[in-house]
Amino acid sequence: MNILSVIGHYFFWHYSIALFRFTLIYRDILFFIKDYFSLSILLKSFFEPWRRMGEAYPEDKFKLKEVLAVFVVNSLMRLVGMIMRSIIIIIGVVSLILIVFLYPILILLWLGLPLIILLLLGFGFKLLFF
Amino acid sequence: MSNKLQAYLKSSRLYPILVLDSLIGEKKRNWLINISGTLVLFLLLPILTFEIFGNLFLAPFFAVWASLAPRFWGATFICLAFYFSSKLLDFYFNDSYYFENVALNRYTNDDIFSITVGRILFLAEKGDALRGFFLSAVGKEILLRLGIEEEAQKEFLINRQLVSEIPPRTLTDGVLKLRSLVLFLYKKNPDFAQFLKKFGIIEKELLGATDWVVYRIEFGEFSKRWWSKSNLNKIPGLAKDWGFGATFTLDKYSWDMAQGLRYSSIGHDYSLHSLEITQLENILAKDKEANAILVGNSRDESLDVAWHLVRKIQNRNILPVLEHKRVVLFNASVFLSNFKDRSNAERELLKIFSEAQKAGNIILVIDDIYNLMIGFQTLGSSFLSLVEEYLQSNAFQIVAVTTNDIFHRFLAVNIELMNFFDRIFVKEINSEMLIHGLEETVWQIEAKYKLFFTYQSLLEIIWGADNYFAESSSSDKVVDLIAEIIPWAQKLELKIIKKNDVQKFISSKTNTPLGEIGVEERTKLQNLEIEIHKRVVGQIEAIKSISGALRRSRAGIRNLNRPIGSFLFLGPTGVGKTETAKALAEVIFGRESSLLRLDMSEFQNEEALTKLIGSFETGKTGILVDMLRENPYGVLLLDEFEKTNREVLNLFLQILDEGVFSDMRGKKVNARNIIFIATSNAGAELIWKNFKQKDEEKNTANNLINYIVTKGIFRPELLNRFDATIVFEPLSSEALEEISRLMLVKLSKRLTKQGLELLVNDYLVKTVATLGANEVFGARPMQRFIQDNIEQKIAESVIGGNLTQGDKIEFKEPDLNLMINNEQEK
Repeated sequence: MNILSVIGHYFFWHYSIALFRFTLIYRDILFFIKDYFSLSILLKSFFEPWRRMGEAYPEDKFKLKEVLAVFVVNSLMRLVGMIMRSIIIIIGVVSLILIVFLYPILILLWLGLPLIILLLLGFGFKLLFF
Repeated sequence: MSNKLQAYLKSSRLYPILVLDSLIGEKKRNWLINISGTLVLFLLLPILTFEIFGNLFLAPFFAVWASLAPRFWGATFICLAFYFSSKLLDFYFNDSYYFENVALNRYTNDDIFSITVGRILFLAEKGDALRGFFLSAVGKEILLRLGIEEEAQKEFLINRQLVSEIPPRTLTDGVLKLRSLVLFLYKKNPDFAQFLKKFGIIEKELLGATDWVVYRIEFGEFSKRWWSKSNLNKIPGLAKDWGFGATFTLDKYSWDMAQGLRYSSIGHDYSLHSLEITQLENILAKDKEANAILVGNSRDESLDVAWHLVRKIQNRNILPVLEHKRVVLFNASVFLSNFKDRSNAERELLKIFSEAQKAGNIILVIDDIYNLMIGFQTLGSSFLSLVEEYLQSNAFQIVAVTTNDIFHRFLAVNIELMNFFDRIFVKEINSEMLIHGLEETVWQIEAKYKLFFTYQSLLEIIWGADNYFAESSSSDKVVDLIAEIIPWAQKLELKIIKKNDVQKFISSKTNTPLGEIGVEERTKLQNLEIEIHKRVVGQIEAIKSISGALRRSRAGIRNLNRPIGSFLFLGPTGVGKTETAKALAEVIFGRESSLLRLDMSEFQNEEALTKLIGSFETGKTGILVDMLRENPYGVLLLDEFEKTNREVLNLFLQILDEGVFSDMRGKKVNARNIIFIATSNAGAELIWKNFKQKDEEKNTANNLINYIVTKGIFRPELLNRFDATIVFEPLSSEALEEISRLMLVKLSKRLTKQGLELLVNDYLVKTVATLGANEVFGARPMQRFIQDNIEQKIAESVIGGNLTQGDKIEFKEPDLNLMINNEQEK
């Protein structure tokens, strides 16, 4: 009777509480990936110069040559920043997508796990002894 | 199990899980997981090898493999099934019961007891709950933490006849938890209490050890869940700084605090400073003038709060505005040492501040802001007006660090500064608050160094750190002490560190006896008078009262927040006051060199106090401060105590009372392991008068104290601070003769090394005593007399060639005639 009640409670847990908890953990992991790759900061500062480095424009805006030089340097800094950030952003987004697609697969696995265990046992014995 | 206990257990919702746990407990589950997992790997190895490479390289064996393959697959499937099912069981058990109930404390109204208590009661043989406690893993762990090893545990069970009661439902207002069960068992089983008492364990320690074990279980459950939000947040992110600016100039004078986090430090228990941390967070989150000044007992203690902030940012457990902030510790001394002239220093500082602003994620922690302000002042500039613009704006946050002493003396009065900074007073951590953090640190140490600490040893470490090392902040002291104990224990090949091991370590480090009084020490203490009298002649009353005071101190009756002892020695010159101090240093601390000495007549003028404790303006440290920092354990002799000025006497009033004082930087100096001996000639005339009139009984401490107070030499409150005032009487002629004999014997020993023999006869002894000593200087001039008259004559004879090795020297009447005895008289 005891064992039966434990088994009953187990299946209740497996198909309700655990499923719910699984989803919560899943959500936490998604947020973690987003944070780990600093996606929000990198997106917000996407167009900023690399490490906010750059030169100040000359006071006299008519010194065209100097203005142009500063413009080129600063644009380069922005470009470097954009390239560097893009690399991380791409890796981050790809990981996020992978994780998102993994969810239904894992859920299916979890739902079927008791059955899978039974099948494994059945096939195992069959292959081993028959 | 008795029927009653079984009924009690069965009435709980947890009963099925207890049955399951007893069938396949945590240990068995883990074993099953490990075995089946390993087997799967081993089985998959040949399968994969043949399936992938079989046709290419292993063709000759393929036929054999083909017949075996289904078997291998079958075994793999079965192992996988076992692996999955035991893993599921583990998840189920941990999640459904353990995590919900124990860690999150989500018991329902139907629950009678916690799962841990259930496990104990389930093991109870013959209906005896205490037996269950002793047999359970948790119970064994608690007893081991109390230093009771398994042999003793088993012995107790064998001899036990009693059966303990079943805890009633109404014991606690909800679920019966481990702590309540342990307390119940302790209260209801007198033999258990007796058993613990045999090991010197009191109720508080039993419960403390229980809490420690409960904490370990909960902590373990939390840290096992790598997927939990708080654990995931501990992993530092990638490219966090890429969105912010670089700070090249700032980096030269500072370092990122996140990189320097000391993970094993117990200072990281942030419950200790939770109030201050919340205050700091709120101040830093303001839109402008978000600057705070941390004021604590020491800079380390103030800085602790900043460390907590860094940790909270790392764990992403912080207000959203402060997320992604980089906390940088700016080193004012390094900065100042780089600049000699004003303009360069100003330019560099402004560069640093503008960089920090541009970066956009900086929280600047300035260690020792007062130092920085003074530094700029000496360069002829003003730090505040220089950076005013930044302090007012929302450019970035600044956290200044200082000490209580400096804050109240110099900073609180600076209105301009106080306008920019919100103050946070960091409260002192007391030793009881440290235990939680220490418990956590000890697990890491135990795992790393294969050591085991008992609960009592932890208490002793905290107590020792507090009483023997008073300078730095409490949490640092404890960490330092434990860091020193580890190699010491490893050297001695100790596996289990108990209370008396910690005591032994502290004793060996400080040279002060601690813990139980050993045989050697017992004889030393009992014979203190005899030991001192080996060096000091006469003064029987004086030495008796000093010895009494020291024995009281060692017996543990002494107040630990004061020096070990403090004595005022009154009496004329040359009667053995200094010699007694030297003898004490040798007897108590094992060596005469532990006698520290200050001639107080050198501290008479106005600068006397700064000379002793140092000066902030000049940066010079004080003589007394250096002396006590270098030698925290010993005898400090304050010669001619009455000659110093009032300010210095006030300082000593505090030292004798509290055992600590602050140096010029406001850092505490510990004097609690010092025996203070102040000597004074005050009242010497009175002592002499009484002595001459044969009124020795009037030479009591009380009489003299009255005399000194009426003369206004010392104030009564100062005299009251001393443990005892000891009167040294002028030496009687017998005593003087004894001293003279001691000195002559010493000389004769020296001469023996030269191959000469000095006969110490009564005539010589008497002559030295009468002619050498005098009323004013007591026995002191005797040494001089021996030098001038005895040694001089011997030296002349040696140089004159009259003395050769093996000669015997004798001084004879009437005028100390030098006689040399050898085979042929000279």
